[in-house]
Amino acid sequence: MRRALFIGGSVNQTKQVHAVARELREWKASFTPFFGDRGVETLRRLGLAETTICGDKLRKRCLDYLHDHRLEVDMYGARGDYDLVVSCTDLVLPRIARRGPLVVVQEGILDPPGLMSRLCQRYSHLPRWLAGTTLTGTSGAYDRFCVASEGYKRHFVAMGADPSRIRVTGIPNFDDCQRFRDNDFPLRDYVLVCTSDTRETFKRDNRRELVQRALHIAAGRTLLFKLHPNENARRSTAEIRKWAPNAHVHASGNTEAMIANCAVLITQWSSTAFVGLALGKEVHSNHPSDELRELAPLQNGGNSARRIAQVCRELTRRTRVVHLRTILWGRPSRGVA
Amino acid sequence: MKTLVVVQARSTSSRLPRKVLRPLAGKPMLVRQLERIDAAQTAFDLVVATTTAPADDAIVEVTRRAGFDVFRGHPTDLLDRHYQLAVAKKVDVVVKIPSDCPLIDPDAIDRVIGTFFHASGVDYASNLHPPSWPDGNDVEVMTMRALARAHAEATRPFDREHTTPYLWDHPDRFTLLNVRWETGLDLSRSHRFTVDYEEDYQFVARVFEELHIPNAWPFSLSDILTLLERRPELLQIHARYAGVNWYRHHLGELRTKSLADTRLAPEDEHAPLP
Repeated sequence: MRRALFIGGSVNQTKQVHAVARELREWKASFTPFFGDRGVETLRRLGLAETTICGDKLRKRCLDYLHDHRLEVDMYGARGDYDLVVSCTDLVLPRIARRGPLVVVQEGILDPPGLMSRLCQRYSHLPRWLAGTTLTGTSGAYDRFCVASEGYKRHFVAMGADPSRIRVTGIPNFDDCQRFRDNDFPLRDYVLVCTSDTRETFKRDNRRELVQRALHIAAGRTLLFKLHPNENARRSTAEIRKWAPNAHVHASGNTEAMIANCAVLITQWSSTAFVGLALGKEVHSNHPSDELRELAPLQNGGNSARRIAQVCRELTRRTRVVHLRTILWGRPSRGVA
Repeated sequence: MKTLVVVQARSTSSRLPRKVLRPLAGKPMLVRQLERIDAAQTAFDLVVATTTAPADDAIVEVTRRAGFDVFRGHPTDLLDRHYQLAVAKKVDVVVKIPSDCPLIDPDAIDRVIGTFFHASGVDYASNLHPPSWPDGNDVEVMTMRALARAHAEATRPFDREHTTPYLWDHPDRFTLLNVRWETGLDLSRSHRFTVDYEEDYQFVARVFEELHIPNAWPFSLSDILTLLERRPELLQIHARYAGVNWYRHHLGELRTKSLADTRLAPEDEHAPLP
């Protein structure tokens, strides 16, 4: 039986690679929380990666998810000798992933470009993760990159990605948003604000302005804040209580259900904007709305994981042929069709 | 190619006497390690190489009772002990594994031996130069010819005592190969699975308590790393020894190792550097 390593990350990312693994039934699947190269691991041990998927907090959440679902954990891919690696990002790729074949699954919305992404593009020795998720897909280190929509494919190609390695499959957590309508969340027709972990990831966030904008849009309607799971909940709750004392604040809970039941969705940089759009909600986001509509993930009735699994099968079949060619005629360059 | 795995063991360790006989999940540490080595997929003979000293009678008895082969050789010249055993067994390839690695990963053994056999014309392969696996997964593979040559040429007491430094220090005479851990990580200085001090033993005993299942296949390195991810406080049991290596006392003699490759142990801190 062939063996695949699935590298998780946040719970959202881990769910995505888990969905792909479920579709690859003929493969023996092992999972690991996210880990990086030596430099990234050093930062983690020093406590400098705590607000990222490399940090201990999110790794523990990932491990909890893996154990709760009784998935086989192979920490760091220590057992080695994998025939396929599926990762939720290409911003940091450990050596085991670079050995290939490697399939990367887009996690969701990306950070907007800024000074840091321009610097990272200009100075290639800078690690691309310094720019948040902006430079996702630009590593060239993967064999296949499964993306959310044609709009995203155009975006990644414009950023310099090789179009021959991109497959528009949809992405598992955002491909069947209608199912979120069936939920038991008790409230209806409120104005929902899904916050971002901007401050935790060292970016600017004018929270007071967000709360005031939300109050203005709500215009007296019930206002509900859903905090990002990576946010400092105590601090954010205190801020909201101060500026919007009547608002409901949820640090946990089913975000998608809350979106399904709301009348208006306000987001900052969150992928939840896509859920709101797919469900026909009035959406206010820091991203321009035209751009969001262009990028919106395919709604394919929950078939993205199956499509990604098919990409994995085709790639590994092809890799075997290339491996045979390599034995006969020498080493091909990666990703050559 | 007849392959022999040799686990050198003695009971007169200065820092932790009789450590290999200490219990782990109800059996001596040495036997637990032999069980893990025996779980490797590669075909090889497995022999414990102990000394002729009466103090090591207990090692002979424990090893035989567990169903493993044992050989007695020179008390201090480990190079000679390895060589004599290899000659007696008429082998082509010798694998050296120390007996203070009770958490050794069978996959690491397979990986190093497998890489050695896949590479052509290699005299010596190990996962130690530089190390990348957690400390305590030491595997060194050498041809009989390389061992015989080291046996004939090595004169420094230090080379005789540790068997392989003569090979490390002579890349001009031997073709050497290092096997890096596939993950790309280097946990050799942060994760210490070797037993030299009381705290090391306490750590390993805790790992066995948590992971050992009677009559089951040995738990894997991945299982240990997952445990430590969930229970990072276990690493604190012997954190002050993380990165400490035996060759810190021989830095002046070894050409291939420097102070950058090891840490001093707490008891060394007031001693002059070698």
